[in-house]
Amino acid sequence: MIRPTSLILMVLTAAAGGALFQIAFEVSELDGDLSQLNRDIRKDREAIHVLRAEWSFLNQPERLEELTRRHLDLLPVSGGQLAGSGAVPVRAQDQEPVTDPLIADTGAAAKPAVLQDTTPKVKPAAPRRTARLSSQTTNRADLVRSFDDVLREAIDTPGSGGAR
Amino acid sequence: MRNRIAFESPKKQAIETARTRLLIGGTLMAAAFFVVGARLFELAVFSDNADLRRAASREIARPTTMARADIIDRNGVLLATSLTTPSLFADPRKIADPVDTARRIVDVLPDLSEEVVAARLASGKSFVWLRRNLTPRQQFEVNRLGIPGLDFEREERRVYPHGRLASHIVGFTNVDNVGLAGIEKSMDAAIAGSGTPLRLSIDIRVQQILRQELAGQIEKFKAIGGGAIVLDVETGEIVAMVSLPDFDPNAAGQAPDETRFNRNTLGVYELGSVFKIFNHAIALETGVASFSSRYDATKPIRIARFTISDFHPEKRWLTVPEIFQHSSNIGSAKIALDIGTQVQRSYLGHLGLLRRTSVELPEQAQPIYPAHWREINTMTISYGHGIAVSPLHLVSAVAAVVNGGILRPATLVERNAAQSAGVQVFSAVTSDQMRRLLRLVVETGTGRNADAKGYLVGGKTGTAEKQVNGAYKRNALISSFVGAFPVTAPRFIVYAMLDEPKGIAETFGYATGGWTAAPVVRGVVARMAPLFGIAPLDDAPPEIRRAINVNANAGPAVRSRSHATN
Repeated sequence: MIRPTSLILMVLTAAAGGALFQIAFEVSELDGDLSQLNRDIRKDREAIHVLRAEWSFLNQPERLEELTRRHLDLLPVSGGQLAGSGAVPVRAQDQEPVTDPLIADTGAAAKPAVLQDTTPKVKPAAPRRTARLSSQTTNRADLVRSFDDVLREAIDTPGSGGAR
Repeated sequence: MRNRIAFESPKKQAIETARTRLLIGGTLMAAAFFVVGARLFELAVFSDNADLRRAASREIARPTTMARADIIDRNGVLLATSLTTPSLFADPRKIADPVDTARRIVDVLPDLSEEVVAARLASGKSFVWLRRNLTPRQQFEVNRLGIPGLDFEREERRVYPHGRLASHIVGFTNVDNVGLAGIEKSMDAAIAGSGTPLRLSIDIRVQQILRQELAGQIEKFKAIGGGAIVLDVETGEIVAMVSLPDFDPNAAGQAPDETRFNRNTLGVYELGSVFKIFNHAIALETGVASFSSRYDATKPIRIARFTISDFHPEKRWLTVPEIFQHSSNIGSAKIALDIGTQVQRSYLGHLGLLRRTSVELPEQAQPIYPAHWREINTMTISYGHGIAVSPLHLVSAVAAVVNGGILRPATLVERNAAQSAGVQVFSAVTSDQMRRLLRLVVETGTGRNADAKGYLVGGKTGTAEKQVNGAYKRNALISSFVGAFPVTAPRFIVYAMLDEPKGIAETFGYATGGWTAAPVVRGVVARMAPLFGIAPLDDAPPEIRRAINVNANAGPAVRSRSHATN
């Protein structure tokens, strides 16, 4: 014989238990998701770390210089190519006082130089600057090494590589 | 009592006991529910979110920390970093076919031996190493094989992306990640402890320019090596420092010992005439001599068993600026006699030339100077013989001469002007006079090859014979040039030194500082000035002339015919 009150209580208990298990499973599932996300984040961060090292490696000034020489018609700016705005002559009809304070200032105070410009502004096609570049002690092969090779070299030093 | 018991049936007594027990149980349950209820009430009403915070902070993507912090240059370019590298191991119990598996592994890792791998995989153990420290690409290739039973363990490795470019500064570590040289050693505790990147004062771009220019001259003059430094005169920061030959810190273990030698800090040399900068500065500071003082340089000085003579003798009376311009040893020695031994010694001490530098490198040398400082030592030290200091000593002291007279300790760690307290060694007036003399050397004296057009370089050449076993070797020279630019308000000292350069036809057989080292300074100045926004100046306008001219009554500034005086 089951009284109605007991019945209600039993149903409530069963419901509460069921809900508890449901929540517990959900929590453990979320927990799993969280640690998976954390693992992914760590993996990505490590990848970013490696990529930063590779970026620095690829930005070696010597390598950039070689690439610039090979692919661009640019040379470093020389002193003779620089002049202040005050060195630019004013057009005849603009002889009135210059209103721009910036131009007026530099013109009056600094008297910047206009130096003999011996460097051609646009690089001629034929005479590449091979003299300077070929006179380096670094092995040319260094430039074509991949980052992977460098890593291999770094970790293959005697005593560090090989199976234990 | 007995009577009552007698009247009650045993059944009733049992019910009684059960009731009492029920009461106790019920009370306990009620108490427990009350506690739970009270806790719920507390959480719901008085909660201060501490538990919420604890829940939220639980294992949310902690940043990966490496055992050693990165080292970066002044612009944030990565110079040294730690990478986790995977090491490949296997669980042989899970390997079905050792021979086939070994063949496939050796396909992607060709440096392994197929027999060895197969033997290990067939060993029946639960763990065998196959290959330590793979590169990311090798790991990817092994993963692509998709062989169950293979796995990776992570280990840390120090990597230097810029290789040999800053090798003597950054240094290197051993396989256990302990610093063995350079900044890696001197700041080992800071690097291993903090996790925040260590920012150095060097600029990798200037480092490259310096190395390239120096390497070019070393090759041209067949020198055995060289050193070069760029120093910020206002802060004492070393912007670039190169010692050649250098090594690749990624494979430091295989580098020959001589390549690991840092000529700039560990080498001490008799640097020759560049020391005349200090001799003149002391004389002007103490009032012993002025620009109009004159000294007899008609014939060599003979003292004890020594003869002090000039490389290219003028054989006449010289003014103080002319002594500097023609780099006269005779004149310098006579000025030094007027200065006196005690005063000379104390000024060189104030300039930091008699003790180790305070730079953050373990590779440091103690200067060599006479224990008993006699008159003959005073005379030879005036032109840089009889005292041996490292190039870094010289550069720091020259910075103090040109920057208004303040000596600041050289550093490799980024620092701003406010942090760099200095000691006033010379007056601003002396400093101004010295800048004029330095410019004179470049305009009309031995340093003309250093004149980077538009950047007003001022400097001094130095050529010294090397001492080998106590005797000077005629053909083994230390040729150097130290320059400051722009000389009207110097921002940088640029120094270059070549070890044993040989004369070539283009320089008429000369291998002196003016021929070998000065062009390095010219090249470096011309290439680095635009990087630091230093505008070129014309040296012709009268206001510039007034700032750099040596006093007119100092006698006629005779144009030197030869580049190659000492």
